Amino acid sequence: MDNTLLMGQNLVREYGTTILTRALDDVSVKLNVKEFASIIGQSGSGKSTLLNMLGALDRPTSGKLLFRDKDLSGMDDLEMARFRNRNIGFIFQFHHLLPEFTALENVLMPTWIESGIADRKKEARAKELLELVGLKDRMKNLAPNLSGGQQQRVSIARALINEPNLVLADEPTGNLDSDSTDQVYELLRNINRDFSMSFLIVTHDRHIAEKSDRVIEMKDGRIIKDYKTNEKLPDELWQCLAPHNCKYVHTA
Amino acid sequence: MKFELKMALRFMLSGKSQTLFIIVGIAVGVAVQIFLGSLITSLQDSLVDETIGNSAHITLKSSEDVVTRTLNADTSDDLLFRGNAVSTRKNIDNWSLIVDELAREETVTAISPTLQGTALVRSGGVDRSVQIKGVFLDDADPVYEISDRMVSGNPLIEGNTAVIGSTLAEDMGLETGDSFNLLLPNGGTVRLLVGGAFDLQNEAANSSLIFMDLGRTQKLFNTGNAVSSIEVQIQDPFEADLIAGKWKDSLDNVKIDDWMELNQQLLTALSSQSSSSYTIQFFVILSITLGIASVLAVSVIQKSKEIGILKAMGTTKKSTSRIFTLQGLLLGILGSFSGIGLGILLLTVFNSVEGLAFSITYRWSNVLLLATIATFAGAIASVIPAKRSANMNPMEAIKNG
Repeated sequence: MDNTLLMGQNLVREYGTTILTRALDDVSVKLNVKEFASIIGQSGSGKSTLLNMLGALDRPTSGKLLFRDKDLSGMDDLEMARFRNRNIGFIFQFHHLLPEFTALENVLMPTWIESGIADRKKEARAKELLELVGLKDRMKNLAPNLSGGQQQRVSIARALINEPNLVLADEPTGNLDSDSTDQVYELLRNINRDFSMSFLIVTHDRHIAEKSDRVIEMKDGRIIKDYKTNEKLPDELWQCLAPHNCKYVHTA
Repeated sequence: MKFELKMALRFMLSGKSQTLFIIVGIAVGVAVQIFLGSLITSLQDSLVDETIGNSAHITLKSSEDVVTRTLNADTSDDLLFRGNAVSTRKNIDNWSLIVDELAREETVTAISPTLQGTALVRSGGVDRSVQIKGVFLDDADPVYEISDRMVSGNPLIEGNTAVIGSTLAEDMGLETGDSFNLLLPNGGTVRLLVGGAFDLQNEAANSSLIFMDLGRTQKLFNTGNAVSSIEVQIQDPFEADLIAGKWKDSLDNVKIDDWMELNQQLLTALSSQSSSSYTIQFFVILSITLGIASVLAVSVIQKSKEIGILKAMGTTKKSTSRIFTLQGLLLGILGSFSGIGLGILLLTVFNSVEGLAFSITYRWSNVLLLATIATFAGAIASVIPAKRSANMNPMEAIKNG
């Protein structure tokens, strides 16, 4: 069986009408099942644009996007929404939990969206996931009553509830202190291993990039480097990632 | 529970003061509508009641009067006269035929043949000009509600016993059982007995009206078996003009008046009052709608991040907009129900004030209609905010920062 989960071919994304900005310039990328990959690059290099496109949040201006041989570029809004709900888990820098709901309800949210009914059918599963992220005793807390790290862990549990094939994370540790960053990274790594889910993480943090299976480096809307971390020596890898470290230099 | 409903409820609960303010706003609007609507309707009912209460809905008289008869005389040198005739209008001789015909109409609730004439009451050296109405009590009661409006004595109309207006009784010092002299236009005098006094809630009637037995009146005025008019009550007073119009076509030799024609001015006043009331109600609904719309528009902006994440997780456009439509509907429903409570409270307070000429009554059908309109306004108000939320781009909404 083909090991490819997601494949983008010649993806182009342009914004604006009078002044055209090309956020993605002819990007081709392939992501395998179970892969844990990082995307690094300067601000404005097109990382988030690529991530949003691979997550079916956005459509390419031109190019083709295949998810297990299913063409995403031809889907309408409704199909895209369904696709995201079933196949993609999102984790964002500002976790974006719904403050009106408890941790448990936030985790259940994707199941409610899927069925259209706000029921507790999947509660057992949600509790397991909260236990997995170490928040079993905080289930009934409203989202704003949790610390940043705790909120991010809730949002990880939320990303997993519908058992997606792919988890997309946009700077998941960008807003966290170093202890929480380590916890979140370990968590993502364990899930990647135990649940066989693919991960694609946009990050500024070279500690995370270093520990990924693969690093994709972007600049000006193009992929300029794409390599497996185990193909490089640790020192060499560290050198490659050095320009991209902008956080927690003191911990290094 | 439906997912969208749960979201709508939580969103509303999260902005408690915002939600509360708009609900109170809607409630005040609905309450004003209920109060104003009921006030105007009750006021109009009371005015119409007062008007119809002292007159028949439709009155049939002979189409010929004495003067026309003279004018139509063959010889040109006949005298035209009006003079001191008892009545210039000819009486109806064949009234029983007309009564039979009218009795077949389904809409007719009462028919009262009446002989009306003027006379003088002389008592204790004082003279007072009065209107005599000769009627059958059973027929006249549905028109004038004499039995229900007696302030003293009994509604007794037979032989020489008559009932008189309460003011007339007071002015002439007459009490039940007293007798007085009635001076007739033809010069005769008859002694009558006071059976009781009535209050028709109309000063003119109370000070000058006397009800007597029809047969006795016919004898006194020497009109044979004739009556001067036939007074008719119908089911819906506001159809009087239509029914009168129909009868004008089918009945010959009678002149038909309906209360609506005789009270054109009142009806015009009432209808313009109604239109101004509707205008006010329309603008109240308009401001309710705009209020809900602005609250929801603000809410869409406030919740843009949440909408973004919901969409990223696969919430469809339809679902997103439904969350806001439901909020509009819920605000409408909650506001309407509070408004009903507040409106009825206002009415109760108003009615409990003493010394009012009339009390306000409300119709549930009306109240519910207003509540339905306000609820519907909530749904309409949510259209634009809901659309805006549906078209919100999740990437924009959840951009870092």
